[in-house]
Amino acid sequence: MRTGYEYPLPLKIAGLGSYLPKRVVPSSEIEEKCSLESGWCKRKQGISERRWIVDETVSFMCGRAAEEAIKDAGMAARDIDLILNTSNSFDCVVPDQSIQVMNELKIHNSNVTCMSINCGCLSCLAALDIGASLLAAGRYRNILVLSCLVSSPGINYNDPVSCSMLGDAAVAMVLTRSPDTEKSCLHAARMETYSQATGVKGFTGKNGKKNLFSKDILFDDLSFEFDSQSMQTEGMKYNKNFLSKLLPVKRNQIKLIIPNQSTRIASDMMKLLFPSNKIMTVIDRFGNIGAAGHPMALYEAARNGVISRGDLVLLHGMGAGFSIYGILLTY
Amino acid sequence: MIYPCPIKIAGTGICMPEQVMNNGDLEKECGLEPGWCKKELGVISRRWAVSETQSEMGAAAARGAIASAGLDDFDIDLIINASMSFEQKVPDGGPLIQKQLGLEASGIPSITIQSGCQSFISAFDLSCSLIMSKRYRNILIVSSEVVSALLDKQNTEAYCLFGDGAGAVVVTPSEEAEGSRVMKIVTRTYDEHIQAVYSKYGLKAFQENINEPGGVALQLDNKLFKKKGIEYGKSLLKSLLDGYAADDINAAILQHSPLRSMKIFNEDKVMNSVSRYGLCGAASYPVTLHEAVKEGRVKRGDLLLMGGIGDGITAGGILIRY
Repeated sequence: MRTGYEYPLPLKIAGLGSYLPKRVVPSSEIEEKCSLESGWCKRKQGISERRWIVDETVSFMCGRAAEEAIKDAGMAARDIDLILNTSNSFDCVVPDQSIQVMNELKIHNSNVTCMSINCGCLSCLAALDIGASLLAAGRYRNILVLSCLVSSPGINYNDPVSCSMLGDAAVAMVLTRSPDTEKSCLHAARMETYSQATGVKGFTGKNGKKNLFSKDILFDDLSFEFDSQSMQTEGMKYNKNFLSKLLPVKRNQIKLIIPNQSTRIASDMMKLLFPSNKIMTVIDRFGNIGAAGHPMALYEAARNGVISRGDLVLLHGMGAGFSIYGILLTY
Repeated sequence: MIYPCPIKIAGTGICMPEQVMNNGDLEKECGLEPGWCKKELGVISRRWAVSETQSEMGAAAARGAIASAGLDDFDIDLIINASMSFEQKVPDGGPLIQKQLGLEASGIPSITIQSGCQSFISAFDLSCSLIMSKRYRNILIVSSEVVSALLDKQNTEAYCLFGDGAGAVVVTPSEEAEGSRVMKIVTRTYDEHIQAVYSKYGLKAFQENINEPGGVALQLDNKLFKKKGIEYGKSLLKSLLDGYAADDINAAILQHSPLRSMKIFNEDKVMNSVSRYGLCGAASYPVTLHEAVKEGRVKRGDLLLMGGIGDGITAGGILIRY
């Protein structure tokens, strides 16, 4: 009987895919609508444009991203044995969004397991962390991770900060067990949750409804609230010793740092710890896309040759909970 | 996965809301003939939360589980909320439960794992791998449900079937000398009958600008669910029992009535809490387990099977040496 496995765990991100909604919304359009001065979004938030859906659903977007990721991994849909949904949005409350995507992909193979992981904007990091253990234990072989945020239909123009910040997008990853001959692995993972710290108030009912998803809900009551400033203030406090506990390597060995793509502040914070040319951000083109932010940055880095196989990558984020997550992997 | 793996359920706990809802009242309210709930759904009564929240009930159940595992709150190194219903979307139920436990400054990681009624099985599945990889040691799984918030009497089947309640377990490594083992985990998804249990909307309602009360309410097609439940349940039990005889099993927690109607096990070995509490989403598993352990119907060393059918349609179960 094997009693355990040692880090590094043999995790390989075998494939990446993304779906971008058709409609590009330049910051100038929002600045005009919200009576903000020209250039405000870029200066304050670091956002030039974002995508908003026209008629796409979460399942549709995840489906297209998944198809690209599966192809990128050199696999077919029938090779997937676990669908791990980490999306912040869902088309219907029931059944689970993971099953809605399985249906969209027309996999129709009962041997596929479906579930969702939710820890807000950090959900995709949790999928890498937990996925590595599942693959190491041999429980699953090929894991499809999905991450999607659709926030634009709930946008409130009376709250220009949130409304200019949020974007829609979907990203998918295929995770596999790295063969012995390859370097890809997960070196370390760490998560800390401090529920005393409040930051992201996000997604509360306007009328202060406590139970969000109830039969009495009127969708007019819902709006997104996002207080990035207070979240980052809390982050500074709790993040101080976090990286030293996470990192088993010297900082200068890390090729690329991917902070959460929620605001410009997140990457500015990492610039206090790492050279700015190693920090990858995609917020300029996509805005805050929730849990899809980390894999989107990874997707862009891999596609544009910013990272190659064998490179050491640190993914780091702070999000609702309040939680901090760190993942150190060799791509 | 290399089974058996040295993992055990070290402790259990529950918390049920106070308000009891009897069949008579619901049948009258829905215009159903007396006896319908028991005959069609196998439910005699259920509890519906009035003021109790999901995180309050979850934390109460968790306290029981941690205490019965002989652990201290700070021994827990991962909190998993494994529930189908939501108290809030952001933050998720993990941190909400952490806060209710008074562990808001502990730093203990807290997340949510969901797969509808099968969320408990999914969280247990992940926990086994997380413990085997030595990522975590003592994992608290909390299934706490206020499903009544998602019920609409237009769909009498769902309205009468579901109840509220919370159950929790602590999962830990099992020592070599102990007999506790996880023998097998089986999980399946049959998405061709996705409409058997569904809600019309989620965030789609925003998109389509729909403002319809009841739009997120659970719609259960009990006839289809029962029919398919028997088919998928048979296959699930066959896989779980592969290498064992039905008589080898000391106790079976079968969560949905189609599974119980198959009569694979001796009646005295089969337990469920659905008749007393209704189907409490994912919480029915740990609630039934807790009561069975308390009543002495599940003892250390027993071969225990837990299985069920959920929205999706999903089928899943575990076989453990308790």
